[in-house]
Amino acid sequence: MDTPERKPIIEIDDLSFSYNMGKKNTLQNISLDCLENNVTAFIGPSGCGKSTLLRCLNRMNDLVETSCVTNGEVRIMGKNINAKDVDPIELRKNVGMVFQKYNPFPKSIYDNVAYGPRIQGIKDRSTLDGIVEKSLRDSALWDEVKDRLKDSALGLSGGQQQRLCIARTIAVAPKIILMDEPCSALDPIATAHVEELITKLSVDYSIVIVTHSMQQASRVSHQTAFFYIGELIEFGNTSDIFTKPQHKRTEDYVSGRFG
Amino acid sequence: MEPNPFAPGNSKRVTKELAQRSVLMAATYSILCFTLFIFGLIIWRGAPVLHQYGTEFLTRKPESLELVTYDAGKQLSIPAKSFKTLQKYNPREGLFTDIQDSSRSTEYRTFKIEPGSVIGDGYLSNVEVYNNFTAKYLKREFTAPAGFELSQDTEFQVSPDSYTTLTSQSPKLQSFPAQSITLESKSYSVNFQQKEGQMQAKTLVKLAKSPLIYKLYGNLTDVADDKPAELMPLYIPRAQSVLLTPEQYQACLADTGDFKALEGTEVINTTERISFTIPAGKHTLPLSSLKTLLEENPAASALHSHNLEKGAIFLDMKKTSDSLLLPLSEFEALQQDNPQLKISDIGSTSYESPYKEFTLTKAAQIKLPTTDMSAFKAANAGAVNENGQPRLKSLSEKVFPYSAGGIAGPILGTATLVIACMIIGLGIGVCAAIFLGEYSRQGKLISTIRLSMMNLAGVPSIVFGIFGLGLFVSLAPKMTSTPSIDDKFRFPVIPSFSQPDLRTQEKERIMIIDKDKELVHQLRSAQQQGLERYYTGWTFLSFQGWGNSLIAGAFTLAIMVLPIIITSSEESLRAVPRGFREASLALGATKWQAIKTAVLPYATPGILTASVLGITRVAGETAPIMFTAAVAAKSDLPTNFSALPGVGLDKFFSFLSQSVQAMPYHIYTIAGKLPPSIHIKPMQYGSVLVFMLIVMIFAGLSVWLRIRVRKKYKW
Repeated sequence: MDTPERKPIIEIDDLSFSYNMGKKNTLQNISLDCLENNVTAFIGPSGCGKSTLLRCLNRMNDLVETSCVTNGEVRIMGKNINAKDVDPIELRKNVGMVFQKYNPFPKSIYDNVAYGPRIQGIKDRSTLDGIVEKSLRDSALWDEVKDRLKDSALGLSGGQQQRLCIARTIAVAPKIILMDEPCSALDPIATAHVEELITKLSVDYSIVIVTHSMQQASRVSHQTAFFYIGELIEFGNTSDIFTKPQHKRTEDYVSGRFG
Repeated sequence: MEPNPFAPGNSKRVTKELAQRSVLMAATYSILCFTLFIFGLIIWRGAPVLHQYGTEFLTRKPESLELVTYDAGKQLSIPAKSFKTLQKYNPREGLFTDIQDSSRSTEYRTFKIEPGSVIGDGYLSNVEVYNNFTAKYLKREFTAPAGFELSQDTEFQVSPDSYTTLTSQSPKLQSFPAQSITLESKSYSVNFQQKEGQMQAKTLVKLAKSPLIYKLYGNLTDVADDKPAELMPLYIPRAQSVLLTPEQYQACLADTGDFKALEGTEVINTTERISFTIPAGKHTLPLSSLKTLLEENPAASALHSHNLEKGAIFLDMKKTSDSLLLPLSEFEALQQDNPQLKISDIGSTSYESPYKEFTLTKAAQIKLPTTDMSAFKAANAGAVNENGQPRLKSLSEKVFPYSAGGIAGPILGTATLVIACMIIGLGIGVCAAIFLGEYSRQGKLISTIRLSMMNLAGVPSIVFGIFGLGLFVSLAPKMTSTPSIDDKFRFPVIPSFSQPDLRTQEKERIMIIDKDKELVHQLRSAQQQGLERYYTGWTFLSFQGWGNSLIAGAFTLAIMVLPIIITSSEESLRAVPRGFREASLALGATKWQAIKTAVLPYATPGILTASVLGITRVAGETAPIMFTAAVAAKSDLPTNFSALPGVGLDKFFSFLSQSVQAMPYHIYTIAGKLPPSIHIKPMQYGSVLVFMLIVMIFAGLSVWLRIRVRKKYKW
């Protein structure tokens, strides 16, 4: 895929991160820029820190008490998100997240999608109806569930549940969507649906996706970053990474020789 | 034949193994036996009780069972509404024959009380009881006339001084012929030395009425009845000369203790008395005169002389009262005895009340609860049969406390205690569990809290009782304008504008503090008068405790179940998938929003399970409520709101600060504290069965609630 001229929305600048108060860095001097309305894929073997980096982007790592950024900074829309005057709640409204294991609340489909708007204080029924419909349409789920919005979300299939989680995320209108291996628990057909959706969403949202599947990365992303043991090995256009990798390790990994 | 290489070699070993197995089996099966025995016994003995008394067993207040024995052929009557109870409590077939309906009419007078009335204390409460209202009054008055009735001509003797006062107060007394008499009386002047020694109990009882100053070691009242000749240690602190009556003097001489060698000198006193005779019939006299008269002539008996020491009451009325009602005879007494009572609009009305008449076929004991028994007795009082004999001449009467069934009070008490306790316990416990599980960092303080919680779970329940007594019953802060005289300390909060009225002052023994005088002196005198509270015009936050009350008991029980609630709530919070929290936070929820909407709802089933455990434990505990909430006897049900003082929020507070009866304590009372009898035994089994069912219902409700919630929030 070719990359049109876009400006960076996430700038990661020499970032080091530790889970245990700086004793050992999980991420080591990472620098990369994610572009607006682009899909950026993070690939690498397990434990290489790609998920950690993803969770740094909306400060979900704050939940781990002993975690800290030891060096560098992350700027989203030009603002250092670890600055004191940044409210993580406001940040997360703008940087949504979809998790590896689909986790809809055990509520109705409608209530799941309306959850975000509701906690932000929207009570008006018709506004909520509008948001729910738009989010479900955007996540290509509307036609499948429009007749059973009041049914439990747990009755949906795995792929539908994951798309519901995506609908739930876009209901709060974020700028950026982080996806942490969104298809790893899905079968190939459901995966195809979700990948299709990612491509569609990239028109309106900037997406960062962590994936184990190199095919998936090559199919959906515009840019790819390859990580190995906490370090960024290579970052560039997806086509370049997969066809002419600069580093030996990258080549080994994308050609399936290890990992 | 091939020899069997695996033949059982040692038959002893087989027996041994069988024995080992039997021992283990016996231990296991004994559990089943115990369980069957407990449940079987309770159901076998309790079910017939419930069957006999039916719902009455549950809906009555705890009452005494009264037994009266009658001859065969007695014609009796009973108010119709008590007849069912009569049959239930006396289920012998064919005991009552000739059962007929009858009705009696009672004539009532209706009247209104005008402002400025004065009424005797006893009469006022009578009017209040019949009309279910509470009168306000201004002051007590001892010069108001009160009525009395003499059944025969009675001679009264008074001192000349009293006679002057009496005749000036009521000139009517002068019309009775009076004569002056001189009485001689002998007494002995006896010298006592300062001494420590012993004296017989019977002598001490007599000396108690003399002016002799001494100090006694030990409880005279018990000893004097049982062993009058017992020697009691005694200390006379100083040498003194005392005038003793001949009787006291003789007792001292006859004493076998260390004080017997007493020499006294005879003293002859003469007293002047005025003697006069009041003819039989009804009279009125000012209360204070009547009081003097009766004090100086204790042998004379006057009717309607009740409540003399309290005086008559000035009613505090701005306008004429609503229409009131009294039975005819009571009304006549009211009019006769209260000449200063202004009443108007006297009307007459009568009510028919249905009765049942029946004949007793054989000599029998009739059993009835107290209230029905008094109605029964009233229905037969005064009536005579064909032979002119009183109908209710019973052969014997017996009373067995608490033996009439009726456990409505304990049931409601336990229910309110459990509900209040669970509200408090779940409130504190769930908050603490959320903090511990979701907010707190693991630190020294938190692990100390956890450790103390574990310790709390192991504390014996009686210790909680003592703790509740110390903290909630006698130290906890309370907002009140009438703090207790011996509260620990207090802070004034806001001025109070409503001084308690006279009736509250008397009932709750309140001293109204005079601002111009020194507080300490007034408090001291209040203490000497036996007053309990004081009013200064301020509302205080007074650390006087909540007393023996529902709320103190509920708090004590709540603290007892806290460990159970916290541990299991924390566990159920932890069981909620991490994904819910993360998803919620990733959608921009604050921590509390995430907990409230994505964690708590899914932890509710687990928390409810914890409360099931809590409820069954709380409902069954006796020790923690023994000193904090429970009473053995109480006349009103705890939920009888009309009997509670105050209005609105005040009523709610008095609901919380009342003491209650509770099932476990009631069972303890009827099984352990009352003398055993055949009448109390069924009550024990019945109560235990009901208690068991109640606990099961409580637990069942929680399970049902849990299933419902679980169905709603399932993942």
